[in-house]
Amino acid sequence: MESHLEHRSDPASAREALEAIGTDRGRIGERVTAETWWTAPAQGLGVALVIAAPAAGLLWAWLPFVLSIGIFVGVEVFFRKRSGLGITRPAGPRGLWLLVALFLIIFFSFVISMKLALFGLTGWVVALAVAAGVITAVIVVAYDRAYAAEVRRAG
Amino acid sequence: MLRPLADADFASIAATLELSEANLSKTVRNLVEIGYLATSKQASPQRTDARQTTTVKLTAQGRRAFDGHLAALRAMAGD
Repeated sequence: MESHLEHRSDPASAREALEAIGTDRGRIGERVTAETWWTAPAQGLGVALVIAAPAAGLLWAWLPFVLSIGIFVGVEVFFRKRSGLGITRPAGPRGLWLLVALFLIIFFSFVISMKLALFGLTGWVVALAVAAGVITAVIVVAYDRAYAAEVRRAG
Repeated sequence: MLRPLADADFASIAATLELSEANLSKTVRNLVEIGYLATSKQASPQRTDARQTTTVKLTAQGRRAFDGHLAALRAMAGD
């Protein structure tokens, strides 16, 4: 009994247990990053459609929004099916800041896009949409890598 | 494994932790009994039979227990 208690309070055993938890969490990260190859460009496309929507005019602006929602829902559904994981929050501060940055980029890109569309500068709206889509895809890649790194020690 | 996740499919947990489904099933059942885990079943379009997929998640009690366990391990390890 005593030796069992001593074993349980041994710092080396505690570190081993923590390492095992980290290893298991690392496998979660691997499952996430295994899907990045398709989730990043898909979400980039979804954002590009939102940013490009003002160029479609009042009559058709709803179409890119609907397509975009379909893409984001599809990404969520297929990610869940392929990975078997339900993830609803970032694993650490780096992931959180990447999400904040992404939100700000999308928000301001959309505002600029609407102003460009008001002036009839459709070409510039499309260019902005493509740029926002590419930046989104890059941020999604960075986010997934941050998640894989931070989930090892997440609470 | 479940602490940073909202939930996970039973099969994915077994695959990720490299456990047999039989062993995992026993562990999950025990943890459900003491209130640390909750499970739910859904029909799966991926299955051609009538079996359902099981989703597992930590309960609030389970989260508290795990957080306490993690804190104790870190204290013992001198983190």
